[in-house]
Amino acid sequence: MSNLMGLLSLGSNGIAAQNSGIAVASNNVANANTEGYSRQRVDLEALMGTPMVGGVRSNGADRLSDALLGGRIRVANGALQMSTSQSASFDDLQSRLTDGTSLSDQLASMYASFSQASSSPTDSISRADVIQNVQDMSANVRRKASELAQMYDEFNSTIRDKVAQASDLAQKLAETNLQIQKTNDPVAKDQRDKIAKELSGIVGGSAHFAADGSMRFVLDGGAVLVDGNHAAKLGTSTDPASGDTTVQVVDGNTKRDVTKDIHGGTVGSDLSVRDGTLKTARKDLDQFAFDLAGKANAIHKTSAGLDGSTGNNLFEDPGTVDGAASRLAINSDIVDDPNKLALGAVGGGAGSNAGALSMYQLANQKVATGGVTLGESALGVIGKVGRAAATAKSDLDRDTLVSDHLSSLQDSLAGVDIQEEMTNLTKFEHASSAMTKFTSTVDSLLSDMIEKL
Amino acid sequence: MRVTGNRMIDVAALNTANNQSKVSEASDQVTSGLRVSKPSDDPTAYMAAQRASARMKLSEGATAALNNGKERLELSDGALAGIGGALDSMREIATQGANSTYGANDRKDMATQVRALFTAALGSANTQAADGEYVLAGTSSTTSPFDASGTYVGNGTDRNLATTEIDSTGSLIVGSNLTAASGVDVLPLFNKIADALDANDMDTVHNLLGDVNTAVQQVGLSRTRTGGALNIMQSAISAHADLDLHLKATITDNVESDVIAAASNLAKASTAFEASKTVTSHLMSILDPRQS
Repeated sequence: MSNLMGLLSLGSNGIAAQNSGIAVASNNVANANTEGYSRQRVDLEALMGTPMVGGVRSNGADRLSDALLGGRIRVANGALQMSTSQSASFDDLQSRLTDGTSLSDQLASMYASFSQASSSPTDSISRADVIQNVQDMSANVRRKASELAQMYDEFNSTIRDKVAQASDLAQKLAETNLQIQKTNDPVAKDQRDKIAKELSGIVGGSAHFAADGSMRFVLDGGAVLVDGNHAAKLGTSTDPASGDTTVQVVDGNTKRDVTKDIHGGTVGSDLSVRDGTLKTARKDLDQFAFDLAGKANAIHKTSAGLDGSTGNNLFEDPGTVDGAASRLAINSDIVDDPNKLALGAVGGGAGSNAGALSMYQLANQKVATGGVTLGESALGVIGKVGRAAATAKSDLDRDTLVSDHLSSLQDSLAGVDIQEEMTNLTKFEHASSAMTKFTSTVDSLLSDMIEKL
Repeated sequence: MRVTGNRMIDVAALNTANNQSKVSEASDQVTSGLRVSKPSDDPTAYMAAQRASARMKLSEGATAALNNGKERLELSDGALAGIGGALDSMREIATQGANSTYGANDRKDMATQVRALFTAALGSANTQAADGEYVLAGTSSTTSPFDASGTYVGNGTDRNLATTEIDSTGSLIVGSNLTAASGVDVLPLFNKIADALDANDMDTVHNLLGDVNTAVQQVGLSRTRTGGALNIMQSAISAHADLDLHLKATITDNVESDVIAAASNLAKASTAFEASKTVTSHLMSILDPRQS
């Protein structure tokens, strides 16, 4: 009798264990498309005992995960988000620089107008054409300078927004650490992995597990952002000298500038493009504008206008190199009085074209900074951006491959396969039915025995 | 390795998207005819094409100037031809005027003819181009180079035009070639002879015949120089035309797509795209739990 009662107990435990298998398989199917979900497996344990007792017990569900793989995925995600963002930024940058007439073509057109005017230096149409070309050149340089300045401002704004978002995520990560500490909830662990991946996608960095199982998130330069259930804040400020938005980790009264330490994620991309290629492009454009104005003015000042005037600049004095591109403009005196356009030699007569010829021959003179022609200097602005964009594109291809490979590994370990779960469902359903039948049989035996007593 | 159904569908969908992107790229190449449309496509090729494009513009400017210079020289040659023609006619009249068979009245008629020739020669010498510049004035080109007496008041400064980006050549034949500095004052000679004919001064007319010959030579030499300058300009224009062809080829080689290769790439990309769509659809069908 007591043995039969034990069998009833074995049956009920068995039903419960198989039903938990059904529950886990159902939960897996239900979350098959949930981003960041790691499949679970029911943990069944055979109960020890003599042949007439024993049975099975469910110890709950195991979450399938690999901390090492998770870490690699977060790092790879930081790199992928950075190269994706960089590639898009470089595409944007190069299209801002190449939209409309290219600087080198515009410069060549300006030289060509001087060449044409050299054959007819007193002709008002030729002179007007030169003035128009110089104005177009100036406007093109100013437009490109404005596009680059706008892009710089956009980067600063975007960095501020993203850093605020990263700070919120760091706080959420610390809260999730606390929740896991209290509940060991596998769904919370999935959530934590997802937050960490999202965070690394914004600021790069890496996450490690501490001895107590909590996640520690560290930025590339070593600044700790999340430690257990404590999160530092990420903040931004504006460098008064450069106008750059800078990034700080603020922990209590401690503030650490991490602007140069962020080498991953979309913020890493924004910082690297803003402080690298964009800054270089702006400097190069300023230098080009400064050199162009300086060299053209030197020729123009020593040439004579149709009215005999000399010593006039062709371009307004650019002042300093910094910001020269945004200030490049034709001398307004020449626009007001085209006879001041100096195409001739001083004392050479109205039909002298020595100034125009010198201006045309400037095309072939290596007078720009770096010992190159002004045309090469103009090409250099876009050339550097083009090469950086091409490198970013190949970086993106590489990071996409790495990320795809890691996603395959992650899916292999933790992804839900519906066919597999359907099989599991059937398996547990059959086992549960069998245990029900077994319990029913034991119940019949017990009933018979009770009736015969 | 364990591969889930979702992963298989994800990979298939990603491959389909990649193949669609390749179809788009190949279509762009076929329809635009460009292999390189932005610097990042091929920085070296893009820069080479940009350099060629800029040189083409410089070459266009130089060619336009040379064509203008050539027209100017042709006008100069026309002016010199006019002066030369007048000189030839004057030489015939002066030769007759130096002959004793003609009387004083005949010489007065001859003087009238010579003065008419002077007016024609002066008109030629003060020929203006379409932009109003006097073609024989040197760089004092906004004022007429020969005054009413035929005296040259222009300057002797030549104007150069760029034949290449670094070399240049003269584009003007200056009226100073028709002055005593190069032989005799050509236009005043008309008046000297007319005056001598008017004065029935046969000896002076005879003596001036030598100057007439010198003047004819001066004009002839100037026309030879004009021809030489025209040849140089024409050669430079031809060289620029050849350079343009070369630069166009450089641009084509660097940024334009090979139509056959691009069409072939499009066909391959389209086939791959169709195949990946079929595979995705097949996977979705066999992995559909409702089919189980």
